Amino acid sequence: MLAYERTDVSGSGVPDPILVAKGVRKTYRTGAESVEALKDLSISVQPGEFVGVMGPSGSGKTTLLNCLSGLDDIDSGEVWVQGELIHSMSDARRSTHRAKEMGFIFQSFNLIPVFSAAENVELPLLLAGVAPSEARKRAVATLDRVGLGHRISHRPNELSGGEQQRVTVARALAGEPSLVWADEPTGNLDSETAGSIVELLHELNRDGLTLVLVTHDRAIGETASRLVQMRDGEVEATSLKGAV
Amino acid sequence: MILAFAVVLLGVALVLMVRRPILRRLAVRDATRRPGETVLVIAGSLLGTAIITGSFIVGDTLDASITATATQQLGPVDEVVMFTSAEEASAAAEALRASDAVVDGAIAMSSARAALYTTGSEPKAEPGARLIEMDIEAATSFGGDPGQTGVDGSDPAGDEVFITQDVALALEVGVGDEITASLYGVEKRLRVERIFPRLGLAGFWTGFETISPNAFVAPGTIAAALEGQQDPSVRTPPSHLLLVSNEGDVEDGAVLTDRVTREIEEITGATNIDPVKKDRLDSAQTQGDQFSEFFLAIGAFAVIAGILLLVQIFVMLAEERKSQLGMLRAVGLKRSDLVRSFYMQGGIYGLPAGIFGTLLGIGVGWAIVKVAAPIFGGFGDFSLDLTFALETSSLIAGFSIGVVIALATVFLTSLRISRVNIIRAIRDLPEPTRIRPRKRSMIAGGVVAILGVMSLLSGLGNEQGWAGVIVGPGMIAYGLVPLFSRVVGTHRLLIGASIGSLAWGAFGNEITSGAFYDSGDIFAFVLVGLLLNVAAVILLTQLQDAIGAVVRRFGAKRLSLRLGLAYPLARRFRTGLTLAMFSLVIFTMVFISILSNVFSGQIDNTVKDEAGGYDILVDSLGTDPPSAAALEGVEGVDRAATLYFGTAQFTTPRSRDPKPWTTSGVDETFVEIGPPNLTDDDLAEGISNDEQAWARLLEDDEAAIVPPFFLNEGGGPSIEYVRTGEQITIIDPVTGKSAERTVIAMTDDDSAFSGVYMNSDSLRDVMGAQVPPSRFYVSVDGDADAESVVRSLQGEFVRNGVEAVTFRSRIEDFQQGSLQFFRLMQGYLALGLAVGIAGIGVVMVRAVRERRRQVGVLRSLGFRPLMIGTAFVIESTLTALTGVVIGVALAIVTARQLILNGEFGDGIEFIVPWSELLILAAISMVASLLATMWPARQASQIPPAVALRIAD
Ligand SMILES: Nc1ncnc2c1ncn2[C@@H]1O[C@H](COP(=O)(O)OP(=O)(O)O)[C@@H](O)[C@H]1O
Ligand SMILES: [Mg+2]
Repeated sequence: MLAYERTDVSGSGVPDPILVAKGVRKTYRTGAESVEALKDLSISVQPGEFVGVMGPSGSGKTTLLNCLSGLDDIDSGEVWVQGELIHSMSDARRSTHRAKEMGFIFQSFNLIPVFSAAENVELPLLLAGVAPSEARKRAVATLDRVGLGHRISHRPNELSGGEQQRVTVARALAGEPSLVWADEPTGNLDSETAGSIVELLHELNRDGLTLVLVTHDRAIGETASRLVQMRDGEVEATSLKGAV
Repeated sequence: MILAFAVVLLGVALVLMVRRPILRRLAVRDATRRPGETVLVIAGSLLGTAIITGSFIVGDTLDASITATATQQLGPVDEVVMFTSAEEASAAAEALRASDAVVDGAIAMSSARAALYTTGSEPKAEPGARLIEMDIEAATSFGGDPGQTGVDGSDPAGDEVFITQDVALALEVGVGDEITASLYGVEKRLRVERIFPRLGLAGFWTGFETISPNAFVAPGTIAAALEGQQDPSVRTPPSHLLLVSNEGDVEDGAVLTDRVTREIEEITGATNIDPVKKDRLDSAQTQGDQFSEFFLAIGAFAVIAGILLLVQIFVMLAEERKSQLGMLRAVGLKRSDLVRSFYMQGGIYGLPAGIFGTLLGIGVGWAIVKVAAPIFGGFGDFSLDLTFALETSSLIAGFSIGVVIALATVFLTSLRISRVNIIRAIRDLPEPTRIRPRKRSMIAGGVVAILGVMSLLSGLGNEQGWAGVIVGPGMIAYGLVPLFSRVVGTHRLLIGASIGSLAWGAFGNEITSGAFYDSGDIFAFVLVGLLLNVAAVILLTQLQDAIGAVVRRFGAKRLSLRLGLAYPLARRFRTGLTLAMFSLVIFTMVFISILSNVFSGQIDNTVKDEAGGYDILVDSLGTDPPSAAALEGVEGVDRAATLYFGTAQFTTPRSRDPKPWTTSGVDETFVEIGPPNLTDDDLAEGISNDEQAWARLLEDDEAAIVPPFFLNEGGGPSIEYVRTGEQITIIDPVTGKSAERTVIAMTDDDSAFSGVYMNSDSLRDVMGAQVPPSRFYVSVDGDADAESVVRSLQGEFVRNGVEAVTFRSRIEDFQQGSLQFFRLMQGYLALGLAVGIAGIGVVMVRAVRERRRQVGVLRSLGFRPLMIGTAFVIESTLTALTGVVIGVALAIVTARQLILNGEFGDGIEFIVPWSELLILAAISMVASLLATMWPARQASQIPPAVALRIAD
């Protein structure tokens, strides 16, 4: 039901990348100290890919996600998403662009506590201008898709951790974005629940969802179709599935 | 006492801080980490202290200002005894001086009312002066302190007069100028020799006036004027007084009053001893207290709003630190330790709030006095000079009450909020919603309900039990909720209890036929307001699901609106607190605003009620009144009715000590031309309308009609000392003669102070020549201009000391005074609004901080910064708006109910001053909007990447 078309703008048969980052630098400055969190990072993501980003804590994985998704500003370099240079947009336009093109899944589930599951999931749809009744229908359908059809009117604090994360996944999918970012989505879950979430993500990827998953968990990272190894703000190595 | 309590509470905080460094660190860290917010919290809670302190200071000022009149108009004089002849008074003075009574002064004085005026191109008149004969030399050192008598030198010669500053001002004369005195119809030219200050014996005055138009003349002047009077029975005779000064100075001497009274009785045989000083000081105290109480009551709403703010802040604090608290509990901190830590933090806020609040309170008091001074100074001869005064005890009391309220609030709140479950707190799980009420709350509910029944029952039929009657039914209703919640469901029960309480608050007074307000205690109004507002807020929070559904239906697409509403709807308790804070303050402000408008819109009605068929009120000298026929001879005058007018002492079943009040004896003419309106529901049995009542008054020598505010002194709400059908006693202050009269009706208004009406025979039977025919109600010809008739009357009857005024301008002056007073109260209440707005600011600042992470999530979803800011603004503005709407609605309903029930008098039209209310609402909305601007901006500018990194 949720099929993700591969974009082929050039018509060359090889799809254009969803995301292209070139020479991205990011330095955090706190007082006198400064941390170079990204050093001249370049990467691209093709439609339908499941990219895993791995590295030890502090290696710059979250920074990569924040910068490439446009949640954070960069110091130099370029990031193209669906052919648009996101960091040269105004904050408002970037927000709208983000609502249309991207979804996010975080480690701590980050649902809005005063909204029910369905209300949380329909937020990006409403942001994208979908009519309320249609948005609700699609939100319910998406919750169904992640196996939470029976929990649509529960508030987040009435759900278990795994269920909350499924709601987050549904929220990330609902707007049918071209790219979903996941930052340690299983970090707060026990291994069994974590496994089922990863399985869900793979299922969605098989249906065509493009995904960038940040994790420090080798077992999860290795299931990705392409694995990017980070160290000290740089890409240490890139490997395709099975090549590790 | 209260200070000791405050000190103990603060001391406990201090001891805890010294003994428990870990808890101290916890408390101090929180207060110092966010200095801006701490300042806001302190600002919000210090206003309560300021209001309390300010109210006390206002009372001090009134007390001191009235006490100052005692120095000016009584000086050393503590008691006054009236005699029927100068000889008797002198003999009594001599006997007293020769005795070993604890007095340091006894002097005789004769006086008579006279008109003083100047002639020439611009004549001036003082129609109500008093001519005094007294041994000036002896008077100088009367009471032992020549600095307090105001007189010195020796007696004036035959053509000389010593006048007070007040007379000099009225006549615009100085030493050496000539003036004319008219007394008992005899004119006498006098030369001003000396001018005395309004002080002590020079300023001696026992009337209601606050000026002392005295003129001292040579001995024998009054007796000479009296010779050859034809009809002494309709002239006020001269009064012959014995003035006594107790040992001790002007104020201290009063403590000896009871003893000296007995001694005077023994030595002189007189029985009608008037303890003037003690009465004046007592009245200063009473009026000061009433004034304080009045401002306290009005300010109570702001104080309550301040308490709600404090509760709110601590609830938020606890929520914010929930996981931290859980962690601390996990590592071994006891629950009581959490309470202690919160309590310390309360101390950290409470002490500076108390200190600065007290200081601000001085400013508040000062500002009120500044604004009130012209109001009090605007009553002509009855004006009171308000001079700012404050007593240390007021500052101490204000500080202590403020601190006790703050710390008690914090303590009780932290008892509740420290009850966190460790696991739930750490994992940030919600408190489970209990399906079944706990036994404890069932028992508590039962107790509350039983207490409610008891207080309702004990309150009914007991005037002082109004509090029980007001809150009793609410206690029963809410107390029953936990008992029946298994059967009916808490939600529905709460809705029912709230609707019931609202109805009781609005209509209970009518149902119990006045049990709410009959005592006249203004705090009854505070309690009703509280009941209504709390019930309304509870009702609203119970209806939140319905409201949420409506919002979702109509506002589904407006994401900011949905977001802005989702939070307040989900946080019932906190929203309820904010709502109540706002609605309480708005409620009072609107109520006052409605009342002030209703009253100022009543001038035409009041004039019609009070003046009846008359246009002009004429007063003249009791010693030389003109005749009604003479007045009717003036161009433009149609008819004039004569009133026998004077001041008597009265007692009633609920006012046992004789108090002075004016009284008027009337006859057929007065009733025929058109007497004042009577209160419809206060007619005695067998009388069904005004006409019958006045007819009864004329034929029944035992009947009396009393005015509203009868025997009330000072401001504040009126106390009903007597009701229709009951008896009052009238006493002649000179002879001590007394008689009983039955109240058959009440007048609606009495700004003319005609006082208690009787028929003239009945009144003169008791009061004799003390009620001369000196007052006239005058009607003018259809085409005559009342104001120019007033000028003619005053010009033609200068010698008779005629003072004329139209009823309309008299009533307008009065209304002007009360209108200004209403404005003053509104300004005072604006302080409460400041609490509400500071509160919304604090709440929103905290909300922004609490939700930073969620803001990050929303931003990652694609919410634009503007949408986030808008959501926050919507949240606070809608909360404020709801509070405003509740407050306005309740105030309108309550005021309407009271006015239509006749609590403020008959036939008063109910008007809602919409434009004023709109302005009020707009001001509060704009102010709360401004208070939210900053936090909302903060929220919208949170960078998403940073917000998402914030740990829970
Ligand atoms: N806001 C910040 N200010 C300063 N330094 C930061 C900030 N955010 C991250 N860093 C630093 O940047 C580096 C990369 O961090 P991060 O991207 O969170 O790594 P990872 O997600 O791989 O654990 C770390 O050294 C971290 O300390
Ligand atoms: Mg990280």
